[in-house]
Amino acid sequence: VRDYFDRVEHELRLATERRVAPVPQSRRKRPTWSGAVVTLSVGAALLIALLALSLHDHARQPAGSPKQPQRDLSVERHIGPTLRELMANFALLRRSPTAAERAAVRTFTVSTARQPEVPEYVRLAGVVDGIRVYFVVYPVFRHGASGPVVAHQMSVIASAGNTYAPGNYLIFPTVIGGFGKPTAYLSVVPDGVRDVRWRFACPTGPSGGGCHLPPERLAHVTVHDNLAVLPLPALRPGTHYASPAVVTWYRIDGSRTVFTNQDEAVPFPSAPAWPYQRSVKRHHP
Amino acid sequence: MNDAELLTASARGDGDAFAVFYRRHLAEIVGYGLRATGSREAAADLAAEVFASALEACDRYEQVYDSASAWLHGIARNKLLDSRRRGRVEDATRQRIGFQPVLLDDRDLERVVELASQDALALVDELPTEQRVAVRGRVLAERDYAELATELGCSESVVRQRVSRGLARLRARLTESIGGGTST
Repeated sequence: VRDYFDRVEHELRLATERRVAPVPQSRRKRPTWSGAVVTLSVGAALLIALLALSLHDHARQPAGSPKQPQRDLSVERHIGPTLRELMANFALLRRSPTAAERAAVRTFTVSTARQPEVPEYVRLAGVVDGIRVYFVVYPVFRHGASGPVVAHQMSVIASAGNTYAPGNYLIFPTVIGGFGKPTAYLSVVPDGVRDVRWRFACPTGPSGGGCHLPPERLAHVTVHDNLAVLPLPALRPGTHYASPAVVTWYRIDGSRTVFTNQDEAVPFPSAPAWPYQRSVKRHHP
Repeated sequence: MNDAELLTASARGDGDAFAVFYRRHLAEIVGYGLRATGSREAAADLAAEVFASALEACDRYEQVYDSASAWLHGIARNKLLDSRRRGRVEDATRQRIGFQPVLLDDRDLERVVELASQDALALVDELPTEQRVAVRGRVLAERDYAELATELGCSESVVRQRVSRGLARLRARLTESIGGGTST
């Protein structure tokens, strides 16, 4: 092990090898009476568990973890939004999960060094030209998967192959999809915002090379399920869509907020003060 | 093996496969990080977090091209935005997958610059042949325009034009790789 990057490679190699291998399916046995009883018992237990799950869409404790409820230390550690804040800001997370969303929990379960990390919430926010966009909330543990929960992270995950958005609640839309594939601007929007308006512009000079404006330079998009989406024509390689210069939120109560900073994220009451928030202008009717 | 095959093998716990994937893309991610942040420390930290995230998500990778470069850059861009927002590069993913702390020293910081240079050279190789030969001859080998014109069988002004266009294209690629991309 020589330099930093060799040591990172070493850690990555170890982490890869610690990934939980899929459990091989056991051979099918001939049915017996005792087997039938066991099956029925297991079936009943599963039924009860499913009923409990549908009544309480609560965090799942990884197997082997302590039984006592875990403290959410997000607030005192100022790491990110608490689960309560995420729930308070995104109606999508508050609705009951569908059967498909429950099934998708497995898809988003992450193998870790110690035990699988199970997302606490999986919700399908929308389908854009065949791309499924999920809100997935993971607990962030202090020590791998064994320590207390120190924050929650909501990932926006689009099933478009080359899209992956960890922990983003960005106000400015980002582009999902890819060359020759369905493409769209996408933005996460908290409750209370009815419409968004995006004004696009390409940078001038050399940095504007390859920049492509969408068909509408000023797009007005209605929000559904905390998601604002604007489908786009696919681009050719070597080009990319322009970022908006200005984003405006129109709220249900008639107020509007104008944002001019690309790095700004959806604000949460107890979140730490992020840099680059100076250019926010708030307008009230 | 292409990237998709390496990531599939990694998802099954093949550490060697992920190490190959890591080495294949390390220079471009470090180069991206250095250009975007201007900080060698941040570039090194960002690269480690990007590859940890790639490992965490490798079983969800869907092949679009033979190379997973666009996918990796998407992760890097998100990590970058996240780090700007928070004022530091997060290590949440590394913690989740059980990384031990890896510290940087001065020699490592020099290595960051070396890797970023490799990335820039790789971009030169992607230029059209005429521009690549002209840029390599003039900028990297520091040869005279007249000498290159004789060797290439064209006028000096044509060589100058090829160098100029090649450099402009390189500049655009470097800028594009920071600001553009197709990821969320």
